[in-house]
Amino acid sequence: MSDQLSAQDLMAAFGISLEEEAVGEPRGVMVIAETTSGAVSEASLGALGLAREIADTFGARLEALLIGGGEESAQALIRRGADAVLLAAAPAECDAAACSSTIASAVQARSPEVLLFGGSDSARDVAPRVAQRLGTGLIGGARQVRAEADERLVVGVVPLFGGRLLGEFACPAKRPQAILLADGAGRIPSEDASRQGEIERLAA
Amino acid sequence: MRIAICVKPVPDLNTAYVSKSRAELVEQSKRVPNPADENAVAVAVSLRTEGDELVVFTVGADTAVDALRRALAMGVDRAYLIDDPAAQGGDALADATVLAAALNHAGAFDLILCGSNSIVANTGQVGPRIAEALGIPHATRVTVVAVADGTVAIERAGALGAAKLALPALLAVEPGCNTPRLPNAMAVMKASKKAIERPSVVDLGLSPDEVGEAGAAVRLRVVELPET
Repeated sequence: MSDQLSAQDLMAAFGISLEEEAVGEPRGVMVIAETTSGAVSEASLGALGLAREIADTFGARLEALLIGGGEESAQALIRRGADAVLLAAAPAECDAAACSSTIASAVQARSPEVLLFGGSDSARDVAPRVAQRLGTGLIGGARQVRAEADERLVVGVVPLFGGRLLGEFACPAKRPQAILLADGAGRIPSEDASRQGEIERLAA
Repeated sequence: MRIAICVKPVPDLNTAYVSKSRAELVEQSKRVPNPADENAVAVAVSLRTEGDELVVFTVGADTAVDALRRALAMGVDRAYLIDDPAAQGGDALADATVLAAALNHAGAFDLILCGSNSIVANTGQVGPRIAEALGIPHATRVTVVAVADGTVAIERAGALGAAKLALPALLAVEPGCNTPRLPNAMAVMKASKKAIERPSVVDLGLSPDEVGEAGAAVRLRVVELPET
């Protein structure tokens, strides 16, 4: 028998269960933030508000991936609820393919359990590309979202047949569970100037 | 040029109604091509020049045949229907896996067209997912298409603007970007004689657990009536 104890053995000896925090298990919520005329877009702020609610329900950290914004936009995201902001340089000419690569790489590096996009023309262009690259599901056009703590699931409410019916969708097995909001969906959180958070500049 | 069009058969909303007691759509007539997909067929037909081949692809049950016949009557040459029970009940991820494999199975295409959105859940994912799976350039919400010298110049709806893509490429066309012409009786008759190939999931080199309901990442849990 080896005299070296693994971290798992040590934790078991102290009665710490690994079930909640299994190694490599995707954790945390990531919201994609875009800017329009120099400030974080309303669609992204709406998504930030919902992402904060999901993160609170899960007891998870909320990171905002800011595409092409500066320090000022990053601080605004923190004041409105992000725990940390990842700053990514904007790809030239709002190129959807390049933007998708940036997002997919950041997701692979941070492995969040939830990935949320606000409802905008560019997000609709980018979100399916990212979901396919990550091999995961995307709940598209969600008017409302609801976090279920026990299964750590996000349920998205999507209009069917032009709104004649509503469907509740979830992505139970693949991670991250990606959600693209409908235009105008979301809740813009109020500012709290006392909030602090880390800002990290991603390598280009 | 070889042009592929992906068509989703959908309920005909002109005749379907919602049952309030069961919260479901009750269909009263044959399935029709998703409107934006029919716009995609019309784009393909308008681009056709001498020697081109147009092929339509559908994942669906036998009820999809009517939608395929309509595309064939509009001027498409032949059709693939993936009606393997293993491929049914998929989400955008699973359906895109099947369609990408079917496109590969049918040979190289210069241009792949589909609708930007379906009337079912309007998520606009299948086109971009197919293109990502095939590793080719793509664009959504396309309203105008012009092919020249191995590239395709497009215009797009919304804030997306114009762009130029190298072929092969996939274009998801905006609903209502053209007015598809109703096929005449002769075209409908000819279409009834055109071939529909029905490869199985295994024929396409796929495993049943990556397609259909088994391969779906997103699950529909409940259908409700909207609050009025």
